[in-house]
Amino acid sequence: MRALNVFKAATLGAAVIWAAGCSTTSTTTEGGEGSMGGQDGSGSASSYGVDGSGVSGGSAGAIDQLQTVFYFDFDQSVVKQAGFSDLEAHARYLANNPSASVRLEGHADERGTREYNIALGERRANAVERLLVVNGASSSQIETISYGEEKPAVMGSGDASWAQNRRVELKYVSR
Amino acid sequence: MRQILISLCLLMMATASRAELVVEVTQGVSEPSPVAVVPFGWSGSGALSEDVAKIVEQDLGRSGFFSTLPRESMLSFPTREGDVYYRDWRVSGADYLLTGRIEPTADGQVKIDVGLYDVLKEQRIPLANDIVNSGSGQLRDAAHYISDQVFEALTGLKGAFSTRIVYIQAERNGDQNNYKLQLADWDGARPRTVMESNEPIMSPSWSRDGRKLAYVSFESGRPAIYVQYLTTGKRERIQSFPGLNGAPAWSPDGNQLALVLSKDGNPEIYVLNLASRQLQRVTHHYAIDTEPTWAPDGKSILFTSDRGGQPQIYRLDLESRNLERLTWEGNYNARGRLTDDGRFLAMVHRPTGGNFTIAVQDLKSGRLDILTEAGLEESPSIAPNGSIIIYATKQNGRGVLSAVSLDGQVRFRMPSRSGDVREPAWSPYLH
Amino acid sequence: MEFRGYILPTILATLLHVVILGALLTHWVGKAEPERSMPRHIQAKMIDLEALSQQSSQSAPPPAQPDRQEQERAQQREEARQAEQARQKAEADRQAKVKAEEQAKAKAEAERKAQADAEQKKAELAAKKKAEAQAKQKAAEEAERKAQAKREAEAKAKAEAQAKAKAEAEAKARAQAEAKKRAEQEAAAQAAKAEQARQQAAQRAESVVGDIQSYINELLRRNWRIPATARNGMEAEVSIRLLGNGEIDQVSIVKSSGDAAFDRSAVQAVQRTERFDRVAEVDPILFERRLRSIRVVFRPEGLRW
Repeated sequence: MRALNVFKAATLGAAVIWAAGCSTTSTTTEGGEGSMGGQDGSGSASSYGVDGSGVSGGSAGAIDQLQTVFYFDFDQSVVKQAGFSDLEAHARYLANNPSASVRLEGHADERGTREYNIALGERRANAVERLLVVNGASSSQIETISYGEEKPAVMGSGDASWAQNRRVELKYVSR
Repeated sequence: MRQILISLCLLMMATASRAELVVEVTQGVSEPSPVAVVPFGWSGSGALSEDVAKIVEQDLGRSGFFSTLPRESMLSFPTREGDVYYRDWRVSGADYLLTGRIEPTADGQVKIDVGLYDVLKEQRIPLANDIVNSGSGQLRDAAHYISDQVFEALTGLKGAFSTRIVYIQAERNGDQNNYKLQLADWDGARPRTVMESNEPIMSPSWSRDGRKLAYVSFESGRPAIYVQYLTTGKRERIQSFPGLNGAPAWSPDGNQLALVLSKDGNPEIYVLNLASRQLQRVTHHYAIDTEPTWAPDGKSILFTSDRGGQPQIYRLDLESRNLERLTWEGNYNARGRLTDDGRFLAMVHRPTGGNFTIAVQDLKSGRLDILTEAGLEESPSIAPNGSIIIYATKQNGRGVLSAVSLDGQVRFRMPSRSGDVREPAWSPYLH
Repeated sequence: MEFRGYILPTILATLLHVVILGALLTHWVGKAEPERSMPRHIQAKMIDLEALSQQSSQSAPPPAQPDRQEQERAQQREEARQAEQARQKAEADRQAKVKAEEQAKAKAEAERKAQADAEQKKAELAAKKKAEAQAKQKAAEEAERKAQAKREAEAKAKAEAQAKAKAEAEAKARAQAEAKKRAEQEAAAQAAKAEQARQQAAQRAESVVGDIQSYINELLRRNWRIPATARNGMEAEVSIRLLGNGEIDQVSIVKSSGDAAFDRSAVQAVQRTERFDRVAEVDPILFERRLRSIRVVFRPEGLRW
């Protein structure tokens, strides 16, 4: 079931990437993930799709240098461009190492309600997952979980703390 | 012509003079009624473990319906009807007076004899039970029971002072997080731990019979929904699908559980029949649908959805599948909870450009009132008699519990010793 | 021949036209400036002190009355003036006649004297006779003159009497009419006054009651603690029996709101007030009639819910 979904999302996301300008007004609820991913993907296609001079990947040591925490704006689940190249490198590593797997942990800041924030964290994790998949990773290598606002990276209230807590953490379960 | 007029006038005057004078009063003072709770007498030896009168006084004072007379302002300390001088209390400004005396009984228990008086009428108000028997270790229960009786005698509403709350307490010890599901008296006293984990615990929800709790625990590394019996401690994992398993809510008849699953791609509301384990999806939208709560009649479910671009509260009729958006003010309305009469909707509300507050919307008139203003409020939960909303907020960066009367008049903070306290859930009546 | 035959008719026709035109012109010119005759009674300005004093004593005379009165009086005056003229003319006539007679007599005397000069001696006896005759004539004339004077005097007296009688009758009628009018006005004024007094008394009572009403409202408003269970639209009616000194004798709910706390708050508002002091200032009859037993409706407005 889950695999089917991920597959759907992946194909939909990919289709969006390659057919730039494709409409994102899909109303199918089952494909909701895909349509959201389409939005993210299409918005960023031009900036990273042509980037061919990334880290060569393949070695476990190379990914240690990569960014593993990706930040988001309030009530948003769009991956910022700053994270694109590193996410692409992670994706290449996963593509080259089929036995490797990652866990994406979505988080939110303390504002708003907890269950809504859990959903928001999941959305963020899913957005990152789609970026990995369209860049070559297999969805079977990726596990997502949302903690909402339950596990803040930084305690305290204020814009600085909140910005650090609205994040997706990429963790290698195996390499 | 003139004569006709004159006689007409006279006729009118005559009829007017026969009618009774009617005075219409449309304005008054929106102040809680002052009650004097006199310290109870104790005829036993040694000191009692609890100041019963103080507990009753706090209960009544926090209800939003009453203000209490400080003991320093009392001119006398009667413990029985014969010692009550109404004039004294009238002068002190009390509308009502409660006296009591506690006596030890032969079997090592105590007997509490209470009297409630209408100071203005100079009359005793009968209580369902003027005499309360209690174990000496259960004085708090006895006190809450007395509060319930006084409250009901004076307001006509059932008191909710003998109810309980559960809440989540989180602590960080170095690198280790600790999460506790706590159960306490409605005033936060006598907390005890129902469940403890190093992974998050969320969204506790009472069954309508007050015997079970449903909650979300991440103890397996993934969120799953559990049901736990309070008396036996027996627990059961109900749902653990891939993705979200959250926001359980008991149906009024106790046979169903509304919950949120994202197994189909994104968060949707489902209804689980607890006996047959049959799962029914009730929302179909690619937006976030979460935080279900049942209408008191069990015929509809209210939930939060950002299908309109921002989180707002919707009502779904389970039979007709009619969907109705309930909230329109502000850009963030979420986690609705209804009063038992279904009239008032408490929620987390953020006015445009403002902070997160607790607000109440009168579903009859549509009027919305903001009850708090600290800015990071969440998780409103309503007392079963609809008089008080308990909610979570932040104080000095720490999560604490507060309560506010439904009319916003009275607000108070629950005691908490340590950690981050949040997600209070008010029990139904337990007796 | 034929042409000449037309001359006369043409001239005549022209003349006729001119005459007609002239007549029309004068008529038109006359019409062009119509006479603006002022209503007479406006010019006849008369100041009658009595009328004025009456006027001022009358509460509200109809506005047309003074004009009519003045008109009447002007007419009366005119009549009196004409009577006087007639009388004066009669007197002048009489004097002229007397003078003419005297002149004639003097002439006759001169003639007689001249004759006497001529025939003095001749007519000594005749003169005596004549003198006797003359005396006789004179007497007759005198009698005639006297009779005439008497007739005139009688006529004058009669005319005067008639005028006087007429004036008297008119004055009497007028006085009677005025008296009647005055009486009517007085009666109306008295009735109005009585009515006014009654109304004033009623108004006073009403304003006292209204005053007490708002006073009671104010005290109760201050003492009514609206309970948290109250909702807009709730209504409880309380009956209060007061004592003359303003103290509350009895208070009871006569119409329940359906909410026990709300009903209790209404009764308590009254009990907390204890007494309405200002009720003691009200006169006992009014108190008995209007304030002994009152009703208070407690109906909150502007509550949140």
